[in-house]
Amino acid sequence: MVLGLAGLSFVMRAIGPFLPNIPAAITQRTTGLAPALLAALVSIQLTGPNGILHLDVKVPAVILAALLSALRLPLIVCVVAGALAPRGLSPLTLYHGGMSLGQSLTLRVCLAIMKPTS
Amino acid sequence: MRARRSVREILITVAPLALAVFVFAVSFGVLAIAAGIPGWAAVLMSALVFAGSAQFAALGVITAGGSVLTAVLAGGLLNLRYIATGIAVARSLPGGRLVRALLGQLVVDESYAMAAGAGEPGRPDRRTLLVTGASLYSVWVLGTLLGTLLGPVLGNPTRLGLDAAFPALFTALLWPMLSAKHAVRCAIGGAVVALALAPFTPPGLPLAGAALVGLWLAR
Repeated sequence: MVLGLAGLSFVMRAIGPFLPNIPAAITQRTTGLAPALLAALVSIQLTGPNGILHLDVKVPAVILAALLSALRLPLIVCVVAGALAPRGLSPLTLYHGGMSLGQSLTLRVCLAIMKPTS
Repeated sequence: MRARRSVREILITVAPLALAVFVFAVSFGVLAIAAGIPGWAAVLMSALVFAGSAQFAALGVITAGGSVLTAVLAGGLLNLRYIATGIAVARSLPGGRLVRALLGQLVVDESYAMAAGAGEPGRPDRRTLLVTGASLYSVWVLGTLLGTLLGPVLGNPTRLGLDAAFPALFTALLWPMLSAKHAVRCAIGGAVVALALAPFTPPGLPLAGAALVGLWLAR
């Protein structure tokens, strides 16, 4: 299995670099690859195990990273801030391992509504 | 034209990502041992395949009782996108065909994304590609090794919650590219196709679909 998968992966990665002269029409088309693949990667990261969009702690990570990128902050700042966003949010919400951000926010709102006024 | 970054600057940028990849690799090592795969085979797989989604898919097929052929095909399908990224990075790689083919093995989603973000349209930055790829390759293999050795002690390392680094990185890389109209078109197309395919196909195929749409919508 290891050797079969390794061989297949090697060939797939090697095809492009191994080709002598790739026509300009093809290489120009590859300019669309990066944004499409990156957007797809972001989207896939935001899906749950069933493949459907899932509102969890990765959403604020994406929003924060986009916001900081729009402010033209260095990439490292955007990534670290995004990665730490879930931890920063956890004290503000009831988030913990098994509960999504959406669920915890909903629960928090419900608790606030049900809280008896003194 | 963007200023070229030094190796040190690239390493600093890639550090949080490398940490997340390391944790991911430890997870793979832990799960491979739990699935009954010998430690040496798991490490060899990481060293030769260097593709998380394909490795996890193959592992999943084997643990579900599937055949070796099915596992190989599942992993191979998930790596289809590397044909497109290989074509995209071909002009950025140095040397003759054989050297380029070997260096092309360092192309993974993250190294391609970093290089595309640091380079010019249609020409990913060579230094970023190679430094990022080599760094991630090292932590991927080392993480797998650690996972196979310390698996029972570590438990499931994904609970550390570093997985938010991935979407943050991809977003931060994507954002500056969206100044061009065709890039916005390709990004929307890629996201829509990926989300449409994700519920019905194994991980990796949505990315392959998005890659095809990006190639189609470009220009």
